[in-house]
Amino acid sequence: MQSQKIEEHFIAEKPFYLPQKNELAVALAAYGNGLPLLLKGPTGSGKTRFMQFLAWTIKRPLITVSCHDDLSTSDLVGRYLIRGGETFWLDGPMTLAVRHGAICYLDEVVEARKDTTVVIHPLADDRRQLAIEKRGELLTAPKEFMLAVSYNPGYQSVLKDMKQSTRQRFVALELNYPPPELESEIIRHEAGVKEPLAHSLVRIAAMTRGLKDSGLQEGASTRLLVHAGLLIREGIAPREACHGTITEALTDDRELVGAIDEMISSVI
Amino acid sequence: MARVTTALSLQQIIPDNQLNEWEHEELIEQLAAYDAQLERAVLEQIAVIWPVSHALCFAFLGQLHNGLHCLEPKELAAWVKGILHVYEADGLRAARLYMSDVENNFLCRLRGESGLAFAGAQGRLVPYIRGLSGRSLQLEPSASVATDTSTIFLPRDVSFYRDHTGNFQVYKLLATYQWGFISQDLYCQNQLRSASIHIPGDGQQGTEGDRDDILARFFNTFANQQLAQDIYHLLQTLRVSVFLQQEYPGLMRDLKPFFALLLKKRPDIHQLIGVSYLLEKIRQWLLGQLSGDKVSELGVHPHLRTIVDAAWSGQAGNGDIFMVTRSFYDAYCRDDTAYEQLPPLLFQGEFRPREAHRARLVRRESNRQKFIEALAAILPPQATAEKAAESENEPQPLAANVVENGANITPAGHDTMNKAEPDQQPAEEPRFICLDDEHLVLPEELRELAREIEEDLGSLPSFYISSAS
Ligand SMILES: Nc1ncnc2c1ncn2[C@@H]1O[C@H](COP(=O)(O)OP(=O)(O)OP(=O)(O)O)[C@@H](O)[C@H]1O
Ligand SMILES: [Mg+2]
Repeated sequence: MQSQKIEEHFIAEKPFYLPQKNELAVALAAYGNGLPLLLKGPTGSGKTRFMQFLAWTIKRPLITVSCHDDLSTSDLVGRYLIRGGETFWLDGPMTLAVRHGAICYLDEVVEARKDTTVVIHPLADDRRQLAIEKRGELLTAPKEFMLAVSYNPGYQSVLKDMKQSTRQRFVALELNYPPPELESEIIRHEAGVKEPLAHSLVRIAAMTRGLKDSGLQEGASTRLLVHAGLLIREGIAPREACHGTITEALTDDRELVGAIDEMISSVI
Repeated sequence: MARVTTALSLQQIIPDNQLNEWEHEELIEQLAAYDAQLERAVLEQIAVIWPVSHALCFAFLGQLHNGLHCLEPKELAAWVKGILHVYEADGLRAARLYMSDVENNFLCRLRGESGLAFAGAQGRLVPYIRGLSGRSLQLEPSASVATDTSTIFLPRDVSFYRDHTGNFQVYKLLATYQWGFISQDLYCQNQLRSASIHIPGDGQQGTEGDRDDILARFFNTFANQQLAQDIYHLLQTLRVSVFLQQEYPGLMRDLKPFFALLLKKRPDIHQLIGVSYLLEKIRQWLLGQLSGDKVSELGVHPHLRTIVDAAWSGQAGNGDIFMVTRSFYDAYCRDDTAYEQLPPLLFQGEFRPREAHRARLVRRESNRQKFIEALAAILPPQATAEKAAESENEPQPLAANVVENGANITPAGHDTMNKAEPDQQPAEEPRFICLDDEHLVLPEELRELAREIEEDLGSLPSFYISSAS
């Protein structure tokens, strides 16, 4: 169960984050006006990292909820528990965030059960309210509170697409894969590898990102490149490291696995 | 009953009047002996072969019995493909020979024992080359290696090594080299870049020539065009090799032993004279460099050294290759009667400017359609053709394609020619279309298309924009 201690959610050290464009300014402007944030972008493109950076910048705690298809309203709001014959209430992460004026970040929000919109909607529009039905309580979020959700347009499906009434409540920020120079710098910093290698990894990623027509749903993310860099720094042979962190992570199709390994061995 | 159906199916493929009565009878007899699945498979292949050659078809039917001892019905189509290939390349006799030994000519290759067939390599090779290039290039089996800039042609099979892996690496090298030629603009199709190229010895320099065909103009300045093309292609191969070493060092390192192998297979240079000798000298020098052994020296021609160095410098562009082609020709080809054309380097393949030009025109037309359709899809419905259309670049405006009333304009490349900017950089990708003073942000896909069109034509024609609105 979600920890009740809000202090744990403060971010003590400045996270390393390289802005892609004006995302920080936009997010701060949204925050200042009590508007919720929608982060769009492929996996591993820095959405979570950005939220950490934002939370650190505005000095608010960050409470992250990874949404899944079982996630219900009470997982967000809270529930009664029985312990030793006694019943007591436990705040869910969203309630916790509202009470303490924290950032509530719902990761992959389209995965959550449809009934969660009942609590998301009033919190995301100008009411900024959270109703805790089971307790007959109605909370109004303080101005420090921020709701943020993320969503990967690459996985769009008819079932899992976000409803217009939901998405139109948010200020949208698109975080795509960073441009090559920036991505290379991120890898150098995160994995502690040198320029030529970082540059090669970025090139490999760009190659895999062009393979949609060949049946690869999504290309290698910045995260995978960081992983590859970390293994290589540990002394794993570069091609092997890339095979494990990039190729096999991307696909099970043997031909595609072969093709991606060939790209890697051409570049490295 | 079955015979009646067989006869009917056969008639669909070979009209009765094209067969002698006895031929017809025999054929029905043969087919009727097969089960339904096999009969269908064989009929399908007859349909493929008959229009190519009746004699070949009879030869095929004659050998079929033997063939079926070791072939599965589902392998028939691939076998026939092989037969047709041999027939087209070397005629009926060769095809008969090919058919007579299914095991050695077909099956063991299919298993990759004595070589790797294109079909066995393409599953991995196609996504490889598309990922590497970021373009949807096609790969096709062919008698020789080449590219028309849309398709890369590769051998039907590769059998340098006993194992699959080695032969696949050869396929990979060939495909990557051809991509290198495309990427380095062997056929001078990037008008943004070729606008500033000076054609040495071109009388029409500065006048309006066919901008599309700067290569044709260049080769027209030579008495022996074939020889000039061979020189140009070889010097471009040096330039592309440097590019590949920089961009794909892993590949070039892995293939070092293969370059050494190719070097061993080159003709004996001491048998050659004149320009043939010099060109072969360069080829062998290149293979030496690429294999890392550097066994082959350029010798004592200081001028040849200068030419090779210029192409090999890593800085050379198409314009430089024009220059060195010219100086090589002028220095060594005054007396070209002794010129004997030798096979190009395997990865270099054939030089096919005409095919490349055709492919470019096809691409141009399809890009035009795609662009207009995609732009029409994002334009606000009230936009009409009468409104001024303009493509704009950010932050700097692109060489403007302003047009009133949808009139055609001259591509910007024409003017830039005369400006004092020899090193004109490729323009930045257009990001906006300015319609009626409103900026429309182009989606990624359209931007990419616009960039391709600009490279090809020198600028984005404004009627592309007015046609969409
Ligand atoms: N702009 C950036 N600055 C610094 N690091 C970055 C940046 N973008 C990506 N990264 C690196 O990539 C890794 C993955 O990013 P992150 O976890 O934020 O991705 P995400 O978008 O949240 O992915 P998912 O959708 O899978 O949750 C980070 O741990 C960090 O190392
Ligand atoms: Mg995340």
